[in-house]
Amino acid sequence: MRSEPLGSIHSGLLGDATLADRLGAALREALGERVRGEHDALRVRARTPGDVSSLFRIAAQHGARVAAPGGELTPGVGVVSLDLDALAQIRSLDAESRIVHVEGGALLGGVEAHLRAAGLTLGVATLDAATLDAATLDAATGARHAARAEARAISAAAEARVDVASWLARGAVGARAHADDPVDQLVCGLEVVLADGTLLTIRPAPRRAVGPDLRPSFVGGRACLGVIVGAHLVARSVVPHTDVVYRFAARADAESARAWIRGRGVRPVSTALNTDDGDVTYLQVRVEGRRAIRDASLATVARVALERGGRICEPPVAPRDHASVIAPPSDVVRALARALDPAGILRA
Amino acid sequence: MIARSAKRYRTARTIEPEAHASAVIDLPAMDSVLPEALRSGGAAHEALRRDLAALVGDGRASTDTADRVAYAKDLWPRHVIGVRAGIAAPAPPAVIVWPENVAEVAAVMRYAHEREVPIVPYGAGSGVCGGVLPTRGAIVLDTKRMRAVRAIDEAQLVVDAEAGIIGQHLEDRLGERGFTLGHFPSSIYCSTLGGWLAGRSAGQCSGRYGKIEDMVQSLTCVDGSGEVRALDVEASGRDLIPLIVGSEGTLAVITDARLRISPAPEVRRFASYTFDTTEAGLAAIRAMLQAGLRPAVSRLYDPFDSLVARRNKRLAAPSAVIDGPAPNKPLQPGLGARVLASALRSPGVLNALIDGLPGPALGGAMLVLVWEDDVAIADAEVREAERLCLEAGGRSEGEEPARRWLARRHSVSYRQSPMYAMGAFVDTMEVASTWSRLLPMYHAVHRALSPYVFVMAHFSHAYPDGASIYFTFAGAARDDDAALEKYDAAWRAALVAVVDAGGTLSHHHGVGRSKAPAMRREQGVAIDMVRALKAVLDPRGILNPGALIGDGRDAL
Repeated sequence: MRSEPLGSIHSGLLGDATLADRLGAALREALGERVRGEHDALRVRARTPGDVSSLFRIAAQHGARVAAPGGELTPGVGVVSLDLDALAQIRSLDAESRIVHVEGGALLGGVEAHLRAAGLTLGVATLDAATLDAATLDAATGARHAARAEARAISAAAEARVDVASWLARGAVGARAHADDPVDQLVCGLEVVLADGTLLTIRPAPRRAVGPDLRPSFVGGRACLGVIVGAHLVARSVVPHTDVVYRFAARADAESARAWIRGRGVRPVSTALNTDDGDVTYLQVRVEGRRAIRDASLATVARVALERGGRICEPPVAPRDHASVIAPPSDVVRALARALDPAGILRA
Repeated sequence: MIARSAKRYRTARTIEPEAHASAVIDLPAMDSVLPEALRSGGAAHEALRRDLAALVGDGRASTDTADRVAYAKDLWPRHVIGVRAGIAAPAPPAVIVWPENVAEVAAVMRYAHEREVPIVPYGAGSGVCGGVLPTRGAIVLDTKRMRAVRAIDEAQLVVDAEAGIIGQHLEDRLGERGFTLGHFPSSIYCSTLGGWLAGRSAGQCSGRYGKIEDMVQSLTCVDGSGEVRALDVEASGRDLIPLIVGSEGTLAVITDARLRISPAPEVRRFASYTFDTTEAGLAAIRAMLQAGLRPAVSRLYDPFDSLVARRNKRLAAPSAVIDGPAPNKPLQPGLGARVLASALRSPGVLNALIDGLPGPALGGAMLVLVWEDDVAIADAEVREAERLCLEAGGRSEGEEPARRWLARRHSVSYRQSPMYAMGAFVDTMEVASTWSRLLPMYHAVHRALSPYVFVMAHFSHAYPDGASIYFTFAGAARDDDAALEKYDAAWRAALVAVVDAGGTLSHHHGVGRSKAPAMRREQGVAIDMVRALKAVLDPRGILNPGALIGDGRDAL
């Protein structure tokens, strides 16, 4: 099929029914009933990675672009929407390795529910039931916290409806910070359909030394290189946890306390820093595990915090915000995207 | 086949970069007695040296033959077999250059880029995968003159250091202030920070501190066109550092880095257990890691490797092992060594003999555990680990085996020369997989290697989702040609077995040239993505050609 000049098609598709019809016809020929809509509202409901490949190849041939889950493009003129809701299986749970293999369209909340039934969790803070519990505590301390808690509860509910592909492409907000436990990881393997339609597979491994680590180019990559169609996610046991919050007069002291808590060997499930109105900074630390381990960790947390002027908050009700703004893809990854995707089907 | 024309040229010169200004050799006179492969390029090389000296300063660029031989390889055992056969340098570089700062690195890189001269970054040359093998006419860029510790931020627990610093020197500087990087590869005395980053190195205490890629916060590098790139998680995107770390000098030269550090631990705690089977020992490690325990060291030796470890206990005091052979003790093989070399020529028989014995007959699989933590955390984890190990069928051996391991932890890398002296070869292969695939991979690789070499293994880096296996193997043949043939056959079989069993080819040694042929088998189209990345960062393909992604001609 002949390739049209990209710029003219993007600008002219809405008004050029022939081009839009040609694209729709090509998609329907390849993907049948998985293609919905007409003209400027074409939507592909992929069932397999092969469907995604077909979409990308046909889009490139017709100078169209694709609004992918977690990507930078939104549906509109000359942009085909990709849905992964039919590519949403939980393929397997490797209980021995505690790795769940899911398709990109699986909902985060569904994956978490599946794991909970096996006594496991992804440990995503934004999904955490305790976040909702905290709303009660926050509400008890005043309207300011209550409003924030309500927003968090709404956010948690929304997060549960996010699909894995979008969540990962936007940076896996709420996942455990790597610095809190360098031995742990969330994503140990990926399957990605690249913009040229090829399927890239990063097999699951605990660590590797086989060249550049491509995973961060996709996790947080805003789908500019490809669309995540499968992921191997590492779960952990659901075990008791304890939250503590210390308040510091200066943010630098709180940051130093967090660095030293990690440096002293505490492996928190999560840490969060939040500077309130003024300069007061709250450091929240959650530790988990058997009682003896938690108590030992909390003793170290207390010692480090107090050495830096921290004062414990009772009850632990400080805001527990998580970074929602993830750094955009780097210039190098964008250059790579241009090289791999010269037609620009996935780029804004 | 070994090229006989280059045989029997040897050099014992030790490289001291500072000495180059005074190390003048009469090149034409020396060339007349050298094999063709080692001769300098005469006027062309000298012109290259003059140009580079103008960029970095007099005395910091060399075409000295001894330098070119010394920088022609790393510690890839295949090179060592070659050296034993008289191949000192199969393709020596044209010139070696010692820049002292990032501006000089950039200047050299721009020069090489403009003229399309291959350039090979070089740390301490202790890699074991053929990551350094300059093509003839290449520039070798040694980073060791960039070795400053620029700053230690005690409040935020980070260190800024230049890439050429030797690992132990960095650790010493941190130790003076009461800190540790927590990175202790057995090559720590002869490897650099830049080399660690380029190869995704792991230290022996990775269970507590993580691998080197887990420590890096930011870095500066110079790409293949000479552009200086300052990479920081916050400022430049979190995707870029992981692309440079592990790229083995094929995308950029790392010149400095900021790394997370830790306060020196309050205590070390030790424990050791024996299990009837390797399987039971692995189950104990997995239970610990998945329960959130983080021993700095958790090493499980398979029954034969455990037997060797126990035997070493009687051979020498720990200090003697650490110090290695006495400096003036010749590495001459005795009768026992000759018998061993002879036995290694029939490894299938040896392996079958060992495999046929039940684990307990060899004393079982031994697990050593070391913690580096605050007292309260360490003690709590020791108690919990004991509960889990006993549950898995372990028997406590007390602290001594773990203490002995710690005392000797760097010695193994310095114990291989006697094996080569006796006509054998030794190598190691460190691979990784998820827990569910680990034992099948262990058995598959063992089976694949057995016809060629005698093989044993330990499991030395554990995570909640999997672990690394470290195979050690030794072989011998009637002559060096046959040894190379056997060595290559063993590697080919093992690499295929790893990938087909679902593992990854390397956990922390990197790929270099030894594993490059199997990269596509494991990585598939990811290799094409790395090639595309190289086209972005090194458009003329001058950086360390042949390493990591290979040329596809010998693909497995």
